[in-house]
Amino acid sequence: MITVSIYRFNPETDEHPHMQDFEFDTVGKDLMVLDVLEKLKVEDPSLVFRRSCREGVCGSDGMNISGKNGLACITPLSEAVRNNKIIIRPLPGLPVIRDLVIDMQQFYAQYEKIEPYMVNDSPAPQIERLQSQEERAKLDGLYECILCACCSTACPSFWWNPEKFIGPSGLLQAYRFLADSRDTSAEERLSKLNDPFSVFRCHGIMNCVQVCPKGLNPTRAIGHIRNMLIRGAT
Amino acid sequence: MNGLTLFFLRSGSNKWLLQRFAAVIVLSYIVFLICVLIIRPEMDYSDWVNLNKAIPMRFFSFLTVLSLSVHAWIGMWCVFTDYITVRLIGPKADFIRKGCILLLTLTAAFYVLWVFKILWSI
Amino acid sequence: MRTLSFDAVIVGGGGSGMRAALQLSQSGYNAAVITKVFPTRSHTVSAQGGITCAIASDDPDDQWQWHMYDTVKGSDFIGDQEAIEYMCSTGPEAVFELEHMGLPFSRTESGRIYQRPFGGQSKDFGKGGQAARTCAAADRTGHALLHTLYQGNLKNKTVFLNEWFAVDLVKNDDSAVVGVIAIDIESGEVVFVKSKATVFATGGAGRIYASTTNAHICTGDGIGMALRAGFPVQDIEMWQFHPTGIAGAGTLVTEGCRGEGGYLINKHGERFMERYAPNAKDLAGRDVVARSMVMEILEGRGCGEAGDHVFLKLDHLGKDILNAKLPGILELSRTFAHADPVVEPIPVVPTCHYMMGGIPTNVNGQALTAAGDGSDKIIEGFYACGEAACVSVHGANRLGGNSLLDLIVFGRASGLFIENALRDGVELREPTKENIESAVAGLNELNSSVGQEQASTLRAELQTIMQNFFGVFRRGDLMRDGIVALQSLKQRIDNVALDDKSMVFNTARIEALELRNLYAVAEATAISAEARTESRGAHARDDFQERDDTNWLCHSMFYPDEKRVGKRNVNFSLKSRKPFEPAVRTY
Repeated sequence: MITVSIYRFNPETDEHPHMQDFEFDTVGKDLMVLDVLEKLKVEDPSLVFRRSCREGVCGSDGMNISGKNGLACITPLSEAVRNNKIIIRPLPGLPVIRDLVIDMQQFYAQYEKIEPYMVNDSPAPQIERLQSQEERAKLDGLYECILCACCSTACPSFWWNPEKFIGPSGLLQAYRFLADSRDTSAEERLSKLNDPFSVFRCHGIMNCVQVCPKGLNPTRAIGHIRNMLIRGAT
Repeated sequence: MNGLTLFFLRSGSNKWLLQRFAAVIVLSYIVFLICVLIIRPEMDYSDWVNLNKAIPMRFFSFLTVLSLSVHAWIGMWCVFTDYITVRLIGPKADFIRKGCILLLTLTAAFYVLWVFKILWSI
Repeated sequence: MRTLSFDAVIVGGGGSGMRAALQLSQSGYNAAVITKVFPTRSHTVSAQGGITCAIASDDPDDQWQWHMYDTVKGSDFIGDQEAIEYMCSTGPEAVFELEHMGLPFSRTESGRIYQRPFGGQSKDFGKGGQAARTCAAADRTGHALLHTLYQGNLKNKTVFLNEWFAVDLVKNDDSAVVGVIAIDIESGEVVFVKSKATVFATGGAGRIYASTTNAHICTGDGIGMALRAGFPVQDIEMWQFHPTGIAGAGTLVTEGCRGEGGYLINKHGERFMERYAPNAKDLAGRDVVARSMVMEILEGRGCGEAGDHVFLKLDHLGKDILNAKLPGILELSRTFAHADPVVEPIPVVPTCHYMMGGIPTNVNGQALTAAGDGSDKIIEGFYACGEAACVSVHGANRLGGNSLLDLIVFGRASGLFIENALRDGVELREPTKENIESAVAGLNELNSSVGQEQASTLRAELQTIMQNFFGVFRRGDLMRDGIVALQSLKQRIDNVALDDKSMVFNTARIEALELRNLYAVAEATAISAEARTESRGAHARDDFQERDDTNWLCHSMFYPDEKRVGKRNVNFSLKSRKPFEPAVRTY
């Protein structure tokens, strides 16, 4: 038996959010946190959370699990239960819509701001644009981002300035296009990032690296962008 | 952003570079002084006055204080724009933050002028 | 009720929906995508191995006609050859477009797109040995493709109605489709989304089975809506069981593993596919491999304590290859199977993966029904593409890597056709108040429900029935038992409880609506499967073990109003060559 303590808030009936404790029998199995939530939803259908692929690639079920942001579907209980208790809250720093569901508009807005699409004005060839294996290897560790927002909502700088600081996820994607040999708009991209907030608000706290469920390293990507900006400035 | 930010500093990379450049100057000044004290452990007050009277030394000291205030200004500006925001403390934040930045700027300027006065009155 | 109007509304934000939307917004039309999850959470994201297409990178002499031959053979000859010809010949263009949009394909040494071998692929019409035709972005091709399409749509300013759930189709007095009723999940508001072209790109319904590789969201919403609107579905008995779902968890392990040189072993360590498919071995068609695995398990050669799975062996490929080519699989296996493929095999079992059937369409994505004389009749205003549609390019068994190609080729084709139709002018009669009310009736019924039955319980029972009676192997008497069990479930589903009637992000309401759709798909599957008295492709019957070309070289058509199964001819009319005649299918 473990205690599952879940953040509850229904804007139609609750004035304030509260924590609700459920008792849960794991029958000795090391389930994923999402499995537990699914089973609790059978008991209480009003419990609300997002989920889709249940294998860690769609990025729906980012939440704060015993103090650390992660995906419920690939976080086993053994990693999250302490003293027979697990505490589940929505991702921090963004408005809560209901229970574990947050309003991600601000997060998506920052993603859109970096113009996350390839720009190449030269006429496209009849076949694909060629790219060497070395050039393609530069995209590894960047394109795999699933937009789950675990990193950005773990970042104090993003909590403080979510309108102005792009945040680790958006910057990882910004670098994904800066690093792509097929993209020709690096200069324009950089000039749009060169204010004191978009990139330079990263203080190297590295919470993003610690929580990324895909093992990506946004801080390193931000460092690359910063170096490109500084090279451009000098 | 705000009227107090110089045009040059609207670029994040310039700000970043300037802060680090200033840090290097401050650091080299400290290293220089330590070296002086190690080489001349028997230095007395008149030696000290003579050292600081030298024109290059005056410039070096002045540059260091200038760098220190620039470094501090950028650092504190970051802190103010992180914490004194509408998001964190409500609509009065903009007013308070601008006030703080003004105070910061005046303080930094005051110290720079004061040090200038001291250095050129030795 | 608020009304929103668009030139085109696409229901579903996965690969095919976003490809269709992209086509329309690129050409300046006002297209909206209704999607019940944020687009990049759609199930396309889980596709791993790649997109099969004759781009002649691995083999400069590769021909789309060879790909076409494989696809026809893979379909066990009930794939429409006209559609397969269209898919295989326009495929390269559609794949290059994606690359130009930035899809980060893996590369060959010469800088071209990397292609890996997949099941059922051959050169020279089956005579030239194994081909490598599946274009890959490591083992995250679906993810790369879906994100690229979303990015393309952002660039072209497509309207996204994110986290909106389409409830039912709205038909006008001419039985043309003029839009859908949808719920904005965040606010609970019900809206009539009106459109000159309604495209269903709602994906599959793997969640009708207890064990599936499909995401929680794959509940066959489009099929459910179409059936409730009285439109038929085609070949819905054809469900692909992917050979390698992780035992227990159900998560997918790409066929690319076997493409890269992995193979299946039984408890004696024997590479058993050598017995079942001496030539293609582990790269035979998915239906063939899945059945062979079940045979091994049934005959007592399964692995594990219960002997209920087999092993997929990869360790002989070496750490470097696995890290470079199959990094996602390493992650999944370590997480869900607690097995590190670098040193030990992955426990796998055939798992429901793909719905070959769906809403019958022509190559333009126009949905079809039958006229009085049995000939095809186009449903005005209604389109379908992707897994929800049955064009049909997959027939009785889909080849690996063909689903992503299907998505982009027919998403694009639908978009192109609608673009032209809109340019020529589309006149559909305005829906009456009654038309709209009848579309909202089901939702109102649920909202005023005083039922006692829990949706989650009913869903689990439905999944168990489908798993037990309509799995890899099927038998008439058992299927009839299954149909009876489903019918008794129907009354209880009509009596489903909705205790939580709140508006804001009420996922209990959405799950109850999804349950209606799951049931509709399950029922159509069950009745069609019982009716098809032969074994073909993924439909394997113990009581009719042979393929019956005399009676069943045709599509099944399930008509929901009479719950009747009819037949529809397979298209054998090719533009470029003479059709491939049905032949014995061996690998």
